[in-house]
Amino acid sequence: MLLDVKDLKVYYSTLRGYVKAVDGISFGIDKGKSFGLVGESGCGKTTVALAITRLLPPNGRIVGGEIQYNGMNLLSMKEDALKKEIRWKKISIVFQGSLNALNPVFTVGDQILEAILLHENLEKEEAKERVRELLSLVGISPERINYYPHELSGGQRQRIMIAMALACNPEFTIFDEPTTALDVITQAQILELIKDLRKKLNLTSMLITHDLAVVAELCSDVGVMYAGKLVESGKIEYIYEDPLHPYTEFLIRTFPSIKGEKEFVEVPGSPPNLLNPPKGCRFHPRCPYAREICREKEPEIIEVEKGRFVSCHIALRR
Amino acid sequence: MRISGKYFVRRAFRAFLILIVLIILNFVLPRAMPGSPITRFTGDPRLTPSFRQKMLEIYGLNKPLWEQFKDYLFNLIHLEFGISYTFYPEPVSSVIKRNLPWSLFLLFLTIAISTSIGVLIGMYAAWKGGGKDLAITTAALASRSLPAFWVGMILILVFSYHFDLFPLSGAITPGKIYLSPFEKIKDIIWHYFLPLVTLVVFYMTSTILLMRSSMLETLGEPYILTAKAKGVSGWKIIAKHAFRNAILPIVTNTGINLGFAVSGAVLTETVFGLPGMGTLLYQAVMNRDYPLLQAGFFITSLCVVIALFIIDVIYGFIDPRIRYE
Amino acid sequence: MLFRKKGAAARRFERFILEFKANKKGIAGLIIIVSIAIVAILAPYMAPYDPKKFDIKDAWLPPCSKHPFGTNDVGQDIFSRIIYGSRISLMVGVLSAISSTIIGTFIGITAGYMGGIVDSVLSSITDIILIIPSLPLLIILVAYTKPSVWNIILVIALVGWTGTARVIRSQVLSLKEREFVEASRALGADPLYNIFNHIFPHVFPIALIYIIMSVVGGILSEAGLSFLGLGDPTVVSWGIILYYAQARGALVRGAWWWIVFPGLAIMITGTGFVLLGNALDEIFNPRLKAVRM
Repeated sequence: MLLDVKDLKVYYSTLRGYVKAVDGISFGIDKGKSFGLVGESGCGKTTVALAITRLLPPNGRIVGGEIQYNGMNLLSMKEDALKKEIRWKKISIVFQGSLNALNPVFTVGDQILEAILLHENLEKEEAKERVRELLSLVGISPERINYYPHELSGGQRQRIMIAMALACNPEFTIFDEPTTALDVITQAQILELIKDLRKKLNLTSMLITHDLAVVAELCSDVGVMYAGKLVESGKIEYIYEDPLHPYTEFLIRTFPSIKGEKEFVEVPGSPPNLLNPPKGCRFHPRCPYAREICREKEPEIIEVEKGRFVSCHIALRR
Repeated sequence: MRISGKYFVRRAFRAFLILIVLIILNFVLPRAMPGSPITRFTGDPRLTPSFRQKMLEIYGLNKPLWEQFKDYLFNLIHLEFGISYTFYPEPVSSVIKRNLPWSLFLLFLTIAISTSIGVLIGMYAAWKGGGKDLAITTAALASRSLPAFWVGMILILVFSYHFDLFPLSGAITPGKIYLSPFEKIKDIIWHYFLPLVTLVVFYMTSTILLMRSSMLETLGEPYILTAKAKGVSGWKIIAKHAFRNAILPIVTNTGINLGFAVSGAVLTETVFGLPGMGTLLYQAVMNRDYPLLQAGFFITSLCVVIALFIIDVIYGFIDPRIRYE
Repeated sequence: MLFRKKGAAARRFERFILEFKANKKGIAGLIIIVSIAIVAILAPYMAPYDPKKFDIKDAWLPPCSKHPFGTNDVGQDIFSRIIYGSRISLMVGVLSAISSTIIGTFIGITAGYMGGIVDSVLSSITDIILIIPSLPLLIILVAYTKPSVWNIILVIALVGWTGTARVIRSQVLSLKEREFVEASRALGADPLYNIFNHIFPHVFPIALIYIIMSVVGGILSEAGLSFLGLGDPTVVSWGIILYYAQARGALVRGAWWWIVFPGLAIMITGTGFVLLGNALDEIFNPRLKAVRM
């Protein structure tokens, strides 16, 4: 396994107490595979990405668990070693490019150049050449190297973010909501691009999204998150054909055809308060199958078959 | 280069518009306010009709309003502001010509020094946070309620009176003969040191607070996270990535705060007895020297408008989003 | 419907109290303000002497047991003058702040809500007054009117509303875009109703902060004007005390007590308001650190 996350717990400290954004999550990603992390907004998906890359804000704390990358313990690494060996060279991350993820006062070329010069020993001209290569790789004309972010469209900016993340040939890349806030056509283009790049560069990737269709397109494995917990995970075909957790079932059912229209998933009720999550199974207030035991006891994580996990009291008995 | 000229044209137009309003304001105010000399003359019942007629003639008030305005504009363009009562028989324009450079000198130095220091302190406070930040912020907030002239007085008390380090007032030592221009410069710096400290302390606080909050806001932006993810080191994030963005509001604010700086300069010049527009305004009010008062106000505002336009132009060059519209 | 509104408002108020109590600067500011207010209200009982009474043989006394803050050139007790001065300085500060904020809020809401030509005209006027240096403008305005406390308050208010107007206008503009205002408009609700019910509750906290922040400006403007000799000669204010200090040569004679104490009074009072305003600003404005999920 390239990335091994065990029982990760990340809490944010606020005036009103601790927000338990990630509360005991475990999953693994093998080399060359792509893992999709799905869930509603605010369920803690991005926090997982920030924890892996150690980019949490000052009030976010990793209070438990382990993250192993290629046998190395990421959480106990010193900041310097992390920067020199891991950041961008081994693990890189792509944020939502259509928002303000690119610095408005520098050209896109300069920003990619910076990533290269920070980690590789290249002359400025060589590095610039590489920037142009990267731009063509993601489908942007190399002439745009001197453009400012606001002169490009949302889709183009997302491509720039991807180019920047691949600048140092990383092994593992996290894509955080790569298609959110883009129009449907551009979304399809970006997805094609990511698929293409993955194959070309033999990239291991993790995709964070609330959109099941994206996961279906790109990922080999999927993990479903709800309220800071991983409720189901496994190979994507099995999960889609036979969802075990009620939440997963609902996510899938609300999509009449995965490759069809895109809708925002609407589960009845509202997302739980992560300051004070519900007792027992966190999904029980909205679960149509909830029983007495669901209100009392938190379900354990069961390995139904190799590589297939679910956390639900009634998963196998419906 | 895809620089658009639209921005600069818009800014120039705005400056021009303000100028027009200023000109009109300067014409209307003395004629409208109850305490002004003109209305006093026309409204005072104790004056004999012939005397009043004479005064009206001298002030040109017997002519129709339209003609008065024409004369006013004509005089304005030729920088003809009348004769000052205080410096009789020196014309106002010459008085202003003598004093304006001193004010410009003082203000330019003030803004340059206080902006530089203020920006650095603000950045430091935003970066360090915690106790140091709280101390700096509280000190800056407390300084906001310091009257500029009081700071000057205290400085004079301590450094001029007690320690005899600096002169009590004036821009140059009266009657001194200089052996070289270098000596003159030294003398001026010696005289201007305390006033500059006063004004810098006065003007710096808003820069510190603004830079701090601008920096904090910038540091919360997604592109800073991107830079951190890339592996850019802490200081570089502040100095390179955040700074260029955080400094933008400072530039615009310098323009808006110019009036504030001028007000401070007026008080400081008065306390330290320095030559300049502030002292002129003060003397004009004391002596009810209306020609000087009006001209002084007008020229001061005019300089502010010009400076504002220059700052707008500078901003246009710094923020690429404006340039490439 | 009404019950739910009450619940929400009460909850917001509770949260506000909680956050305020946690803000040390705000508490300090509030304590200072209340103390000064008490001094101003109880002035006749707190001042040992009549501020206008003078006695030449007691002139130029440094601080001593009889006169804790010393005396001025005609023997008036500076301590008493400062206590009485708090009344005028506070009054000018508070009244001018309230007036200028009311004007600014009114103009800001009108410009923001009406948009179009009304907005352009009002914004231009705001910008122009904003740009013209305030003290010279104040000087001109006061020079043309009778020197009295009320004129000074009026003049300061007339010059000082621009900052408030700008901020409130931009707030109204962003509020206008929100759905509930558009929905209300579509229902055909009277614009005044819209303004009071939807816009005002959001604008009010900002106006409140500006009132508090403007008090300092008002106190300083009054002090500046009085220092330049444009104040009301019939009253005692901290600025007037300093005017006499400068005019009667306190600097040349080294009478530091005449200068230091009035200035400290201004500074402490101003700091109180600034701290309180800053605390409110931190509470009402969105926190600068975003919690990412």
